[in-house]
Amino acid sequence: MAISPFKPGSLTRTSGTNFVSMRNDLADLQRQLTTGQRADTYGGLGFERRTSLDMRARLSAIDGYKDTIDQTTLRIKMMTQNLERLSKLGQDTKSDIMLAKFNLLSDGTTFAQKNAEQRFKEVVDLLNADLAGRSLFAGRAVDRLPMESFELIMNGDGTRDGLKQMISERTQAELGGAPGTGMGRLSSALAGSAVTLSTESPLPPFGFRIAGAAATGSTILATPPGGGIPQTASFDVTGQPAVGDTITIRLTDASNNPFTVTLTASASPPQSGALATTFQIGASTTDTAANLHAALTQAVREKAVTELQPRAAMQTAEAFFAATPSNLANLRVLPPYASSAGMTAATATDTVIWYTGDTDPTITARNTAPVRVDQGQVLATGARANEPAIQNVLAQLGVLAASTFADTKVDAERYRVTTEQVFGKLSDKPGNPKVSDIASELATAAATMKATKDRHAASESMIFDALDGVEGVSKEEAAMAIMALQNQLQASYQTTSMLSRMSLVNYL
Amino acid sequence: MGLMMALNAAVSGLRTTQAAMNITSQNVANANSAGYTRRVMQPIQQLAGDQTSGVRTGEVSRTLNVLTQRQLRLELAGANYTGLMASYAGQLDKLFGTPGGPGALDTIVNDFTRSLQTLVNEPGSSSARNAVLDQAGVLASQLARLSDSVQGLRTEAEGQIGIAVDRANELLTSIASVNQRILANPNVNDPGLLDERDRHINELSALMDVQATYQRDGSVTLATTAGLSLFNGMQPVKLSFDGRSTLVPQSQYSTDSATRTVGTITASYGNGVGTDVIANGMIRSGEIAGLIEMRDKTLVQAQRQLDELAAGMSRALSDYRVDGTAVAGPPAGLEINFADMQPGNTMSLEYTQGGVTRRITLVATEGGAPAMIAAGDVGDPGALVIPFNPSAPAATTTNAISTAMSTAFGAGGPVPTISGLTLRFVAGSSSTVGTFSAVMTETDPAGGRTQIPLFVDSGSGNQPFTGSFEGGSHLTGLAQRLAVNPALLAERHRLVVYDTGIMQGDATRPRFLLDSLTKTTRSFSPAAGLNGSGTFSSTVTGFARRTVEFQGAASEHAKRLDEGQNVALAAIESRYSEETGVNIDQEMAQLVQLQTAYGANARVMTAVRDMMDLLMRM
Repeated sequence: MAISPFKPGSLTRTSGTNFVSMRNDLADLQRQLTTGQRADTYGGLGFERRTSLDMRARLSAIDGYKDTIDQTTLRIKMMTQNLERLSKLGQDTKSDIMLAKFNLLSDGTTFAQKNAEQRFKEVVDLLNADLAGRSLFAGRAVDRLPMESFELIMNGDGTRDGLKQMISERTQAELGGAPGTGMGRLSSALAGSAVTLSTESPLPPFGFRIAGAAATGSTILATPPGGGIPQTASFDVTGQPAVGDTITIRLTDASNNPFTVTLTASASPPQSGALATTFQIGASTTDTAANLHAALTQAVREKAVTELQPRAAMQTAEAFFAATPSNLANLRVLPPYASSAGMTAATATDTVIWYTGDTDPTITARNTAPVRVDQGQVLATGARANEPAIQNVLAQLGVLAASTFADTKVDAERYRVTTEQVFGKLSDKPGNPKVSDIASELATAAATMKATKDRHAASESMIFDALDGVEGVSKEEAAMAIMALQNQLQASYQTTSMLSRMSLVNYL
Repeated sequence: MGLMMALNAAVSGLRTTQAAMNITSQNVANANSAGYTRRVMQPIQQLAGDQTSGVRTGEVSRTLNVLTQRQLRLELAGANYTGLMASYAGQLDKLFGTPGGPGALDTIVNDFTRSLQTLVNEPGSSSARNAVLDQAGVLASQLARLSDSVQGLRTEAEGQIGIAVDRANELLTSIASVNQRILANPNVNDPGLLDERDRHINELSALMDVQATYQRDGSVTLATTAGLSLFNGMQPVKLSFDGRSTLVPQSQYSTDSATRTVGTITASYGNGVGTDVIANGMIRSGEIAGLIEMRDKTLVQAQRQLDELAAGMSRALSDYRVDGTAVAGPPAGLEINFADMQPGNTMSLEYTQGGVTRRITLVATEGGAPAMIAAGDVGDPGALVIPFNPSAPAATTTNAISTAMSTAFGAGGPVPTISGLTLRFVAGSSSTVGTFSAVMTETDPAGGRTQIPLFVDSGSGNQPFTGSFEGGSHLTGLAQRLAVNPALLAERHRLVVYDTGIMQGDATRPRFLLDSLTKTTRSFSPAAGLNGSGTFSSTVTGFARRTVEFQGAASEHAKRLDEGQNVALAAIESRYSEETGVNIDQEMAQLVQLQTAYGANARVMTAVRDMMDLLMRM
């Protein structure tokens, strides 16, 4: 505003300026009344503009936190839902095992196994879930689906082997020998009246170890292993045993689980189709020894199938699901499998790596999605499909889905052992990692977020109040000011008009 | 004697009354004329010898109080100065938007940090990444818009100075010519000419703080309060202004005409050499002074604030600190590899020499930096600034550093050595090395650091802003040139993936970006003026808010000053008006008086005629 040079004699200049300024005030008040804002620039806010600026920044941050909380709450809701379903699938599998008997369908699987397969497929979907393109269970690898398909995991793709192939290799390694003849890497021999059972030398990390041998009665002499390798136990039939005399051989597997094979002397031949539990007393001690040899060989074979095979499947599945691209050691069996000398590392080109998400061991699964819900408050809301609890469920369902059975006594027993193991692993036992723990950790974060959001809402309304005090005007006040100004302006107009009429000119 | 004398007296009465009538009619007619002062004429008795023979018209004089007039002119200059400042400050304030409005600078900064908040939560989301880049773009273009507007205001001020200077020249010429006419008839004191001259002087006083000195011979001399002689009674000064058509941030006033890139006012007399009026501060008030202050100080500072904000935004995200690694010695010291240093990046050394703590700042340059760099412009205002050319021969560089240090603080300081691309300082004969660190700019979005060149300087080939001084400070006008890194726009995942093997959902970099803007304090140059003449320490977002606040407060302050000045002006105006203005009532009263006097004189003539008739009929 430049000020025009002063013109003395122009009487109305001062009052004119006053009118203009009052008019401007009136226009400003009118703006205040319409917009509810004290000023339309920061200059007009007066000293409290700093409050306005700082409050607005705080408000923006709170808005951001609230958005974050809303988004994260939705994400956690979806994650917990999926995890609860996952947990339920484990429980359902347990009930299946408890209720259903060993009843084979045409493809050599039971209903419980069929269910397990379907559930496994559902788990893949649950863990591959995404929210608006963000993978929920891949840690920080939000752009990737964390799990391969059921088909690939189970059967591989021709170049990479799947779980079934790995279980089969491991089973061969555990049982040893040609298919159907494996004795858990033991061998038996008959020499005259002596029956010998020995391990391989050196001891492979598969199959049985011989822990001891014993016999009742006085006619069969049991010689337990002496401590050397190969471990050897023998039974020398020095005289005909009495019916009811027993020989016992104690075995362990590579993990030191104990097994016992007991054979009872019987007058009749072993029942066909049943598990070997007896040996027939023959015509001579040599015959009896031959019978004992046959029965012992059969019994050890059956023991290997019913005990070693389910454990091999379980260990393989657990190792398979625990594997990460950076840790593939001791995953595969060294060929030739039936006489394998140990385990070797897998590679990404020969083995299916089921989990493709974030595997960084330096960060916990929860910390892969830190969410800042306030200035200094960070909540961990991440999850990974390869967390131990989820691995466990996958391994159990995998074992069930990957195994097939024949309608024999031995396989019925193997099925029992298999399902018993699965049941045990799915139970709420102290050592077992639980899916529900992950869900509850996430739920805790969700609860904290809700509380934080409430707090934000409270501070937000406080800030709004403060802002209103700084930036806003009360309509009443503005209206009053307008009234006062109106009166003033009218009075001024009136007076000016009166004064202008009051000129001597009019009276001459 | 007798009747004829009475007749003569009556006639002189009529003549005088007519003259007075003439004055009154002029007063009434000019009641609203600019520069018109009320005239009065006092009739005086006509003496014939020692006898009163009638009345004659006295001198027509102006009712004028010179003191009030002088004061009026000063207040007028003041009011024009404050009015102009308030007007410009108000426009500047308006640029920053309505409080909380969508276009307000602080809202845009808040929106940007908020988009980063979302990115921290959803690092993998492409919409969150796009939002960050979009908001960064909005911020950059808003800074450019503000910067353009500030330069627009400067250009406007430059143009207005030109107009004002032309007007001043016109006025001075008019004053000279009126003055000439007054001097031509020294005995006729024509109030019309005096009024005309005063009117021009008044108008001139709106432009500058002019002071008039009236001479005995009726002439006037004019000068500004700071001593610029405008009119010596004979010849007016010739003011000229070499204005530039468009001002850019780099356009700066300088007393050195070779480096000056804005216009200046030159005063010259006759054919003489001109004086730079602005350099000598010869105009201190009035519209011109206000325009100069705006163009060279207020708006330059506003631009600096925007530039500092742009630089802060850019460097807060891209700069990383490197601490010196220890050299066991003896002599013990610290060393830094400067391979990644960019022009403008700095290394800071603190050491103790003779019990006194000394600080030096080495500013990397490729040789194009000015020899003198203000310490406040490179961070530590208390440090000795030494240019450092990483590509110069090692011996040259170390010699230059040693010389600068010993010149400033005496011999015995730490000894610099360069081997390969490592600069090492070890304890000197009377000193020990305290800390040695460097600030370097990450230039690669995938450089493996959380730092990222999110913004670039579009004026330097889209390179990240490094604080370079090559060919002048790159900071100047950065706000106009700030742009979002095109490399990032092409590879948006780089907002998250800062290295190979970093997953899409990794929040490390987004968190760093957010914290760098909202939690980490930086120091801002004293030139921004937010902390008087000291360095201002704040977060970048805090700096943005304080800038808006600063301009708001400046506008309010200017407005208040202007209001105060206007009150003072109004007071002096009304006094002047009362003293010199035409009051119609007064004139009407005068008219009545004159009418009566005229009638009375006419009556006297009638009586004389009657008496003469009577005498004739006898």
